[in-house]
Amino acid sequence: MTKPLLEVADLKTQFNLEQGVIRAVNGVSFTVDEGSVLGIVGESGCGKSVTALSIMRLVEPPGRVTSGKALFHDGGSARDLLALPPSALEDILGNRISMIFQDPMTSLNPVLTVGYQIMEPLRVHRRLSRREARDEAARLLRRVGIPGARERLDDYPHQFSGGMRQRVMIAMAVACKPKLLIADEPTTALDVTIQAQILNLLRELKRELGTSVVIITHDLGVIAQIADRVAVMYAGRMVEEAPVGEIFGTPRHPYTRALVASIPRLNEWHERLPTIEGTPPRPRDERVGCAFEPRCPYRIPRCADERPSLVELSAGHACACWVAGEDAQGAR
Amino acid sequence: MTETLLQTIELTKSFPVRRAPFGGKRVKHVAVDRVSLSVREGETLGLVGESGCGKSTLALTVMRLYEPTGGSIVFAGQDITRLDERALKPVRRQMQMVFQDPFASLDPRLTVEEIVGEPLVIHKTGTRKERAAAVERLLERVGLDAGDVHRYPAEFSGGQQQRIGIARSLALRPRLLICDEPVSALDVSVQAQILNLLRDLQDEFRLAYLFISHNIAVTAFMSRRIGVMYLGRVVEVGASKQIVSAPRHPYTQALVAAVPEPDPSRRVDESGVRGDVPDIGLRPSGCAFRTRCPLAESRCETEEPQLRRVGEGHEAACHFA
Repeated sequence: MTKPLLEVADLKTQFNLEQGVIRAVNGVSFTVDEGSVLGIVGESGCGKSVTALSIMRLVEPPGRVTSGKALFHDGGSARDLLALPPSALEDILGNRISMIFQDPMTSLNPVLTVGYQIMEPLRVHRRLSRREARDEAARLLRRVGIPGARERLDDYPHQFSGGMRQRVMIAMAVACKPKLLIADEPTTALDVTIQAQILNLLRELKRELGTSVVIITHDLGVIAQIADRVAVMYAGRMVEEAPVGEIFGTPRHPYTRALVASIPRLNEWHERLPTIEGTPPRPRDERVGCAFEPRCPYRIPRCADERPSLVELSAGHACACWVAGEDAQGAR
Repeated sequence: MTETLLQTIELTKSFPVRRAPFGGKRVKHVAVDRVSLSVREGETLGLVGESGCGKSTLALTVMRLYEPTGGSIVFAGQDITRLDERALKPVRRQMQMVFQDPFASLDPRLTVEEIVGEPLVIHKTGTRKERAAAVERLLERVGLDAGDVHRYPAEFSGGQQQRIGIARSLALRPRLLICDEPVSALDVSVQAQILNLLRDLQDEFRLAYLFISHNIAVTAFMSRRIGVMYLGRVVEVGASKQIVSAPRHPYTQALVAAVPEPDPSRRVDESGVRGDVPDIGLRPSGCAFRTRCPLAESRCETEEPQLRRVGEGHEAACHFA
């Protein structure tokens, strides 16, 4: 039986700007099970990254988490990450939960050796001695596939290539054997052959350490490669959530269906690609009804007036769409 | 038989670089290394490869925005390799470029009308009135509202900005469009719109494309033929279907195998290539791919493989292909 590791409920994060309030995340709920990979997919501005930053308590003014819970189950107790005092948070972040970002250069300190940076969490959280931490750092670098690991501990981040830097980041992130790893576009800046290597590495580490992963990306290909469950976001909300096979095999939300259909695939030869008309909404545009309604080929009058909420259409498959909901009821 | 519009013959572009800042050893970095390719009238040649393979440098060298170091460029039967600026101007009308970052490539202080009409002004084409009409037609053709002519680039979404860039590139009725990662900065749902638009425009204006992308699936959708580059060299060239379904060069095979397919039942396994692209100035001897190649033997270290025929219209540069 699967056990929940992280339960996020009704998360809302907004940015109070001079031009007005931007509701970047507008009532998002999801669960990450132990040892599983949840993919969060969506286009730019859909709120997927802000969702991750909110859980990690990394949203800075003018941004603010205005509501929600993020229950993290660890060692028999559940703690709400959004309500913890900073001191308790320090014990969890970088230790039980860690994060990797798209651009390793922005999260690695350029004036410290990578060895120092990997050793730091080991000394703080795992209380290893200098020598133990150095041995462990070398072991970690070797594990993530960096040749000459021990010698490279004394190198600085700029002395590594992009793919190697991402490996260093992953080594840092898994140093304390976290229960949860949050990866925000971890392979987007990488070439495709390197991307395949990094995805493989993440899969292996997940298997070895039993770490759960939340992977955030705009790339449906990456999602298909690594996720167990997938949440699709549009305009600050979740529009569909299902096992990965169903998202690609039997997507229910018109947005997911169009998104999956519009990607060019190898060895499928089309004259034209199916498209989604229009452009993704700007973060400030707020609608009463469904945010996808103006672009949706299946819209009915109700869609403009009333927002559909996420409801389970079949076991483990939830979707926020009036039309898909009616179809599902009709099928019963 | 369609005619060859653009041909590069052993085209080479190198840059002097230092191995380290402040007095490091000077080396020559050959970004584009003896590349011979051709684009036929009204057809698309795709160019794929990872960062640093020289595909963008090749585009800029073909446009003569970089001076070629060696080899030659033939456009519509004319050798343009050493033409001076003045002689180049009529050639430039016929080859235009679409860039990756639409916003960075549009002047933010100009209106859409000025941006799209600028090439017409530079090349002294038509009267003011004719130019305005042409701009409106172009905007409508690429799917924008002609009423938007007085707005500025920042007021448009990424996809619309790319449409503006495409309208501008078409203003002079070019015969060749060089598209350098034209959809890489766009959202997935917008990508498909722009790719469809480019294909429609090709038929309508009988355009030839040199279509450059790191994404082999996107390139295959757009192109009849594909060239694969690695460290400045073309390692394989052939019909898109051949390249995608029966690649012959181990690098192309790895590139195709590494594509994360949007299909959870087909996950990329361990078989991908190992290691990383070598640093600038550290090009391996012989076959440049040998440091990452699963088939590499001692011969690959000493003997550089040349492109040779491996099938109908299909060439690969590997001793074992």
